[in-house]
Amino acid sequence: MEKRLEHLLMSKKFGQLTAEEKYYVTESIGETEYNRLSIFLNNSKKSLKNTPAVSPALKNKLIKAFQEKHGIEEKKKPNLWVRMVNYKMPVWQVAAAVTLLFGLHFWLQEEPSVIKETETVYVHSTDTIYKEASLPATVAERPVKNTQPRINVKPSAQKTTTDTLVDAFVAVTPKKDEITIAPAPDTFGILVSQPRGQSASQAAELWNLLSEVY
Amino acid sequence: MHDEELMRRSVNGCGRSFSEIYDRYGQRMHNYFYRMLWQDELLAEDFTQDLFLKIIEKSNYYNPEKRFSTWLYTVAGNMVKNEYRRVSRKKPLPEMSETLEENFSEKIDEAVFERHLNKALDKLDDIQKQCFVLRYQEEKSMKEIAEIIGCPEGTVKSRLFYTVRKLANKLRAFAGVL
Repeated sequence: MEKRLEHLLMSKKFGQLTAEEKYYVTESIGETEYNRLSIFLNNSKKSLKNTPAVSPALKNKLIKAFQEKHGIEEKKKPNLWVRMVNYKMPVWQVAAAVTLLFGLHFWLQEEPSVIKETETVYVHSTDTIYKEASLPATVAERPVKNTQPRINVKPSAQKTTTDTLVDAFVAVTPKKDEITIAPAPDTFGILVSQPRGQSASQAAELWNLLSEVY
Repeated sequence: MHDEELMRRSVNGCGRSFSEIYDRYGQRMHNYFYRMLWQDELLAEDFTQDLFLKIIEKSNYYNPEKRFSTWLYTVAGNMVKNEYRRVSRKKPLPEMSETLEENFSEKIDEAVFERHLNKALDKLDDIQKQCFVLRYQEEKSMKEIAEIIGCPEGTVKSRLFYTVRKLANKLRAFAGVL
């Protein structure tokens, strides 16, 4: 079917044709045939438009198939941690952020440019704590035989040096005229160094001397 | 955006492009299958789905140099041909003359004409039917129909003229009524 004839069939009735068109139609198919075909084609065009609508679910099915084919997962919001870990940013931004952080860190910590020279000095000192031992009143009322107190020092408590702490102190016991050195773990006293063979008087002198010195 | 560009993007995995293609051609292809496959709505939907699945799965067969719509109708036409082949005989149709006689007394309206037109179409040769549907339902140009069917444009013109005359002759009873 020629395009011109088809166009005329679908747009004009025979009576609406121009003289030239009528001539063309009459020469091609004739008036009767023209009218029959014109009615048929126009009715057909209308009828052919009546088609059922495609199901809307079909599109969803096809989109899903497309996503499966191309490995596109259904859009599902991942949790916060996953999003944070998977967060992507350009390398230059990461580099800029790190540089900025380092810069701020050093800038905030910067102090006046005084170079401190520190020297570690270890100081060793030994303190001696004195405790005054006064005689009990009973001793004063009842004088002892010897004017000088007798000090008995255990050999094991003897030390060769005088600058160490002693674990004994001089105490006057309420017993008869006796002064002994008894161990006293909660107190400190002065080391009394008494070489072997030294008399009690010499020890007392040493005691006095030490008392004066300290 | 042109169909061809949409198809190119769709091949590269662009879901929106595929969605747009479907919006443009989903209903049209459904209409085509509906008319070609004995006005069977479910069958038309199945074929429409299969056609778009082919677009998804075998999109590499598409030649970007060809018009997308031509390629799509060619694929659809081949699917229809295969279905005709698969079904050894087409659905039994009542004789046209008997039906017309039977229904002549009832109110003649467009719905009746449509029913008879569909029956007449189903009795046509596959190529004639395809030409007619492509031209008057899908409104394809003679050139495009020639590309889809794979024959010269002149052949399409002559086939169309023959088909129109044949159908008009069969449905002449409606000529003075509608």
